Amino acid sequence: MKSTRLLAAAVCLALMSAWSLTASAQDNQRRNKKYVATRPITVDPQTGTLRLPTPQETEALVDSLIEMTNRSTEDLQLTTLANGTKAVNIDGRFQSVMLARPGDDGMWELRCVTTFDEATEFLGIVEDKTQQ
Amino acid sequence: MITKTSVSTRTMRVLCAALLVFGFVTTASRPAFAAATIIVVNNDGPGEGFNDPTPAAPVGGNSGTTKGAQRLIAFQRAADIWGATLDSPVTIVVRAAFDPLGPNVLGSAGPTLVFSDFPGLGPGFYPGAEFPATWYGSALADKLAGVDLAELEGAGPGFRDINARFSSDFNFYLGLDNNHGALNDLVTVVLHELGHGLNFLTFVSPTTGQNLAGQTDIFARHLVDDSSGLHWNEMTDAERLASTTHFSHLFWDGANVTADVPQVLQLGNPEVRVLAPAAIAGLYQFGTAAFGPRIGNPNVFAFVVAAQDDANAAGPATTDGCSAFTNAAAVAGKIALVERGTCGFAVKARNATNAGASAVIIYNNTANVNAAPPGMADDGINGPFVTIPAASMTRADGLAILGQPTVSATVGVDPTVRAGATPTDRARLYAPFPVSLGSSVSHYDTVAFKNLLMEPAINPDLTHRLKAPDDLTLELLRDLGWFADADLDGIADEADCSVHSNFAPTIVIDGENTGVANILFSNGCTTADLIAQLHGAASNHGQFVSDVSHLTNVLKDAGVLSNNDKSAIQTAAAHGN
Repeated sequence: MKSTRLLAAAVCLALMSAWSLTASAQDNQRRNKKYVATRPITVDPQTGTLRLPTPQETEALVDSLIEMTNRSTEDLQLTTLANGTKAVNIDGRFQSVMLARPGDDGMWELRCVTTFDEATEFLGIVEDKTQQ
Repeated sequence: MITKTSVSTRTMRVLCAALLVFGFVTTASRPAFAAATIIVVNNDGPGEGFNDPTPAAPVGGNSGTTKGAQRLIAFQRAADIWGATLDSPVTIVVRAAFDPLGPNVLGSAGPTLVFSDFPGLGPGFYPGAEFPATWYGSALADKLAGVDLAELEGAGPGFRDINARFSSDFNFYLGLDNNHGALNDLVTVVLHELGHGLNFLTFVSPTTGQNLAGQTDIFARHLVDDSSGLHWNEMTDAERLASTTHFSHLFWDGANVTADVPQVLQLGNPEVRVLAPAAIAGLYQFGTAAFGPRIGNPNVFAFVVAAQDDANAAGPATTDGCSAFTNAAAVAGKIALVERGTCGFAVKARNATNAGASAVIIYNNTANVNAAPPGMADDGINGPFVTIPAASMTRADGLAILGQPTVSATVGVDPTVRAGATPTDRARLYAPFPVSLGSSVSHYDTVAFKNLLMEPAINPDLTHRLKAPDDLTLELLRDLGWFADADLDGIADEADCSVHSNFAPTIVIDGENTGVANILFSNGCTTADLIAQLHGAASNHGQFVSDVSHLTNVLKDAGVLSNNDKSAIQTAAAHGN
């Protein structure tokens, strides 16, 4: 579309200003903590039965949840284009995460969460204070 | 019957509509019908995810012959359903992958960029951002701007609008027919997550209440807390944070959702209410069960009695209700109160049924001390034997009831209020109250019924349909700015002079190409549309020629047509039948 190209050309000529955003280092704090699973959410590949995830599996799960529920604004760049448009690249953050856990009756229960706390609460993962 | 007078009136109305808002652009080729094109970019490497070569038998209309192919076909089906539902002139790019996320993480999705203060193409075409200083997700912003903003921002053409990752460890149902049985339907899960990617979410921090980069977002502008009457964009951070867990007080004020709530949500808002003693009387947060009759069938008004059973192999506590109740005589006709844990919800509810209880409330155990009341799944074994309504409750609320010598309560419905709505038919958002920080407001309330795609839980009875009378997802996106635009001219259908405009590059009358450029006016009609409308309204050929003459004279006087253009159109009109 001609008008699109004109707009693009105008904006491409624009000087872009950047503004660094700030946020907490909460994710790093979480990575430094130990977590433990309190409910059997893992299907054992050998036996097919439910069991608690191993410490290694729990750590991998926590790392995954930290990454996927990242809502930090740290290091995000706010860019202002010449036409007044503001933009922030949040790629990989502010995700909604669908989780699954076996219910008390063995059926999978699904829940969409947006925060680490929701995720760990749903999956029964708690901070292991004996390891601190 | 069309009279000469009425034709003249119509003619002038059309002309005025076209010329009072006299922005125009030349037309370009456009699709013949509305849609948004959603491209799924396979971000997996060889041999994994979408490229997993493991042979697979066709299932549920999915003709893929490998697991990877079936995943891609099912994913694309969800994207196509969204594409057929929304309208956008800008291709929506979804970068997707299947990764080994572990069996408990099914997937995630979200926008990759947010924009604010973007202009439209104007005047009249594509409105741009409705509100200043307000974030919009990339795909929605593109639709409102009429251009690919990511490209303008320097990200390059075709930059992804939505990032999505799903689990290659989870056993999804990969059929396209929603006949998933006990498995979880990938198409439904992808529909849900893409819904978030299309802006069914707020960017407000659920742990601090802060806006993203100091600006509100378009979702938050429609969130209202009925205890204060304030929209989220009108609140302080602290007020927003409090509202995040303000159970049953957060609702959506968008006009499209509100208009369709009566079509979708059924009358009979379920509630658990303690009637006495006064110290703990009031509405309580609760979760619902997938087994037994729905709350309200029937309404139960009764005393609450804590169930007792033997501590045995079925359940180690005398409060867990995992075996036959030992105080069945006391429970009969009452609301049984049972502690969660060890055995399934349906087992407890079946034992309560067997004891003659009129309803059962299952409160969280210590392992779920800070959790919101859960949704209670059916095990398919005990669930069919449950004939009484069941609800779940937080541990704190359960202990509060246990702490009173006598408690009367109701487990029922308010027949005047729709399930998941306010008394004024506003859809509620999910704002549970766990003790721990964090809860989601980017979903409809879990008590909504019919069940909705954008509740936090994926219920097994969901369809693949996104709008009324089956669902309210499209309506919410409409409120955000995903306006219907069947001909993709950037003008909402409700304000469009022609919903299905003729975008031929030149004006053709009865097969005769005039060679005159076909202009799109800012009221949504092209010159060809106007001429077609005159043709349809004219009572005879002479009237049509006369009306076209009027139209072209006005357009010529306005500088839209040259003398030659005018003559060419008038000549073609005269030649036609």
